[in-house]
Amino acid sequence: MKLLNRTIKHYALFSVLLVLCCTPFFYFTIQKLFVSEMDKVLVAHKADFNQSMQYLKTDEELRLYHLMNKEFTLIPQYKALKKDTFFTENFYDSSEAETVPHRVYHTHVMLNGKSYTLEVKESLVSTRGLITAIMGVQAVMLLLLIAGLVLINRALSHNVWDPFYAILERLKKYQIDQNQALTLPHSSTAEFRDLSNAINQLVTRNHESYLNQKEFTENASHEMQTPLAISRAKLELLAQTKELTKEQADLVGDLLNAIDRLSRLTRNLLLLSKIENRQFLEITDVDLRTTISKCLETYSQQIKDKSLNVKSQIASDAVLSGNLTLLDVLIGNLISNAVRHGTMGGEIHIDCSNKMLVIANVGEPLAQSHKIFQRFQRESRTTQGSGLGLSLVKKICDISGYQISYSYQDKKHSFKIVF
Amino acid sequence: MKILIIEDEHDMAKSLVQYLRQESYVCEVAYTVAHAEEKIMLHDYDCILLDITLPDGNGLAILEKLKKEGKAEGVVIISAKNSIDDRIKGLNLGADDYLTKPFHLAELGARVSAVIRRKRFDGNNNISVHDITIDLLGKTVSVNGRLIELTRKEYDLLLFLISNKNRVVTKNAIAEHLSGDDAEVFDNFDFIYAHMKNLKKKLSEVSGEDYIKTVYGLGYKFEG
Repeated sequence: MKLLNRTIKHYALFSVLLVLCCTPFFYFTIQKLFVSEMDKVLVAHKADFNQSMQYLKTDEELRLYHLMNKEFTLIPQYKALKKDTFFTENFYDSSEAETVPHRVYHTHVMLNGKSYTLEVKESLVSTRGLITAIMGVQAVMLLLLIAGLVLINRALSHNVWDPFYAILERLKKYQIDQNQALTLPHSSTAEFRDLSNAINQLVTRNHESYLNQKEFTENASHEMQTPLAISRAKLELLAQTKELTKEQADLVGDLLNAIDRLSRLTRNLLLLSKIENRQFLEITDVDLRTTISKCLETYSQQIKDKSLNVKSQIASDAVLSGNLTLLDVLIGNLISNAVRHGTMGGEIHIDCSNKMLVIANVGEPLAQSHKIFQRFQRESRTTQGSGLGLSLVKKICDISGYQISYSYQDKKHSFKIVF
Repeated sequence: MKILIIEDEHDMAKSLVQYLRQESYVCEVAYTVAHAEEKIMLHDYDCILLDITLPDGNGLAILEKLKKEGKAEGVVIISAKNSIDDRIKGLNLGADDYLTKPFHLAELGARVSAVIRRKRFDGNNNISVHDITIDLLGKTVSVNGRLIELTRKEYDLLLFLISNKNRVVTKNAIAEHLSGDDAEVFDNFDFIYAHMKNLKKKLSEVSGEDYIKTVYGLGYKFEG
């Protein structure tokens, strides 16, 4: 939910609740006010009546007056009413043709020495209409209030929140490996200015530590590779000398093999740390078909030597947007793994589309399959991989957001990557 | 042929000189940027081996200077930094090749001779040793004028050996050369034996001579 909608939601909820709670209170208050006003009117009527009574001397005159003023009713009473009473009662109203509530006033009067109870009535039908009208206006007001809130917030979002969205957009596009400074739009709002400053500081620090990290791996690489390069060069020069005996030649050969392994190991370790430092961020469209066939070509001799039967099914639309180097390493390692560990004369299955990649080879089950992606985890020392291939694969999947899973079924090791 | 080696590691530089000297190259060494710039001012070289990390500066500065002065030297960058940025920058500045340490001396030999060939013999893209002629453009090989069919790997292998002729080329160097830089190299060298056997057979069938000698336990040597 957008921040704006969230605030609107709360405002709207509050307005509705407020109106709903206040409406009955408002209703009853207004009604009470009307009734008390009505009561005052009734008392005033009684005063009118008393004034008129001074001129009415006979019963005949009284009857005539009563005929002309229907709201007054005189009820003969033997016992005088102690207190004036007001109450509301429904009466049939001929003008409305229905029963409507009336306010009734009972009071005691003495006429010509006789005791009467005077009843004064007034219809409440007009007040009922008024209250309904007021409630209607209230409902309209509520609707207008909510509509106003939404509209004002919309307008605010365009003006006030614009810098925020602009900052967000720039941040999304920012890539730490590109040597571009992050320029955030200027805003007149203090909060956004603070935000920009804080982000700038954070990004600068991050960029610095990224560069430090990168420099460190490159320097470490330099420091490790140089002695290796010297050792290898010296051994190769030693190999050139004419007087080498067979034993010496064997020794030199073994040393060269060991140095090869060591240099491959450092190369892979450095690659792993580079991947961890996210130094491969450039994204392009990578044609997996090309990558896979290039890779199969690289290992074609080994595949032939082991009489492996490669069955590949690659969809023509197997194009993925990703980092070329990383995908090369990913596919290269999976295929070389399959070639290395595939049983003689066995099959290798490659199934690839732009959604997923499956590479499977026939082989003996593993004793510790749960550790398959761990560094330097090897079932035996005889297969001389660096022990880093699959952890590189895992790491690449992790940082690229791919799902990798390993399974062993029907004597087949299979790696499945869902892009 | 004169080669300038700009490399601050004395041991490394010494090994490079020793190896390249066998191919009758004349090698000079500079250990610093200042020293290298002085040498470049005074002499012309056919090829320069350039380390990027030098004590008094970045080797790429030398490359920039060379380019500015329009010097025609072929430059092979030899760096321990397997940095994509440096690689791209170096090649953009006009370097001919980029080799990451630790490399095999035979690989360096092959790259250097390729660079020198490109710079020296414009238009003439043939290498001849004994009765073997390699057409670098057409990627074909003929013996005594007779074209022989080689697979791409066999052709690469022959060119690699001839570029390092009279020197032992180790199996490790061959394996890495044939598999490419980034491939996970298998320690099983059987595939080299297979290629080598075929190559030797194809050459000696026509030529009657076997110039490729097996150096037991180590590798092979093309005798030229």
